[in-house]
Amino acid sequence: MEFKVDVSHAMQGLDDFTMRLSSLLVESDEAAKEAVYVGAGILADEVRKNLKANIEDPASAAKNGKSAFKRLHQKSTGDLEKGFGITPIKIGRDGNWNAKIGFSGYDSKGVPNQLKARAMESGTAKLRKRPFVRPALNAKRAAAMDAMREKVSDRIKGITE
Amino acid sequence: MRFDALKAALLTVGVPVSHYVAHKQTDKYIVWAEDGQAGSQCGDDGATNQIVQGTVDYFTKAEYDENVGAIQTVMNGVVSWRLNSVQYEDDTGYIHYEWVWESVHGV
Repeated sequence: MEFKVDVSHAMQGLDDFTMRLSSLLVESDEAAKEAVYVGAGILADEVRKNLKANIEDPASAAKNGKSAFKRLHQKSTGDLEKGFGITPIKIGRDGNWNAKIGFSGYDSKGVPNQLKARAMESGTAKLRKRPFVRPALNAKRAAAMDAMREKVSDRIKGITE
Repeated sequence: MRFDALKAALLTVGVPVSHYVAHKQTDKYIVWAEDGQAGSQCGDDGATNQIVQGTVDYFTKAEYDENVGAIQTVMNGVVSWRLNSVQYEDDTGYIHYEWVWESVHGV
């Protein structure tokens, strides 16, 4: 008695699956970069919104409402807003793709923007605390993670389906 | 946790304690504040728990101030916390310690 098994169809399916897995491997870096781009954008937008609200706040930035710090919103040069941004998306030593959101550069008086941002976020002995980064992260962390997850899922679906 | 539990704990450190803003600042003082929600749990179409976040700030002109450790000790058991930043202020000579705390509140 002769017994034959036709494996050609099964092999063809396996080849296709292997090819898709290879594509996934190749494109995973691009997917990760896109996800970081989306997530960082959501967080940065919220930080920028809070920063703008602080800058435009007509209340004195001083702890005791001292005149020297009144109407700071009318004197704003916009240097702090201009110094805010997202670094290029790079892969770290741990193999994870990441970007940093923060401040760089100096204002027109030579004061580091990072110092000004820290003084606004944490307050000083003279300036009242006006947190804008931490609340932004608290408010949008879940939304950013959801958006990143969705971006990666869409990318994987595009390859595997 | 009730917020006054944190205030009561901080008062045991032995320096003036203010809520949000310190008026008539002395050499060493603490300012604490609650400033938002860090998370929540929901069930049955409503919030069941709320994680409130805030800060404790300590201003001192003394190096190696023992109150820093005392503040951390008294916060234990009342709130969960982390030391967020330590800054030296050139213009005032203050060393500024800032802790971020979180506490779960039933709703």
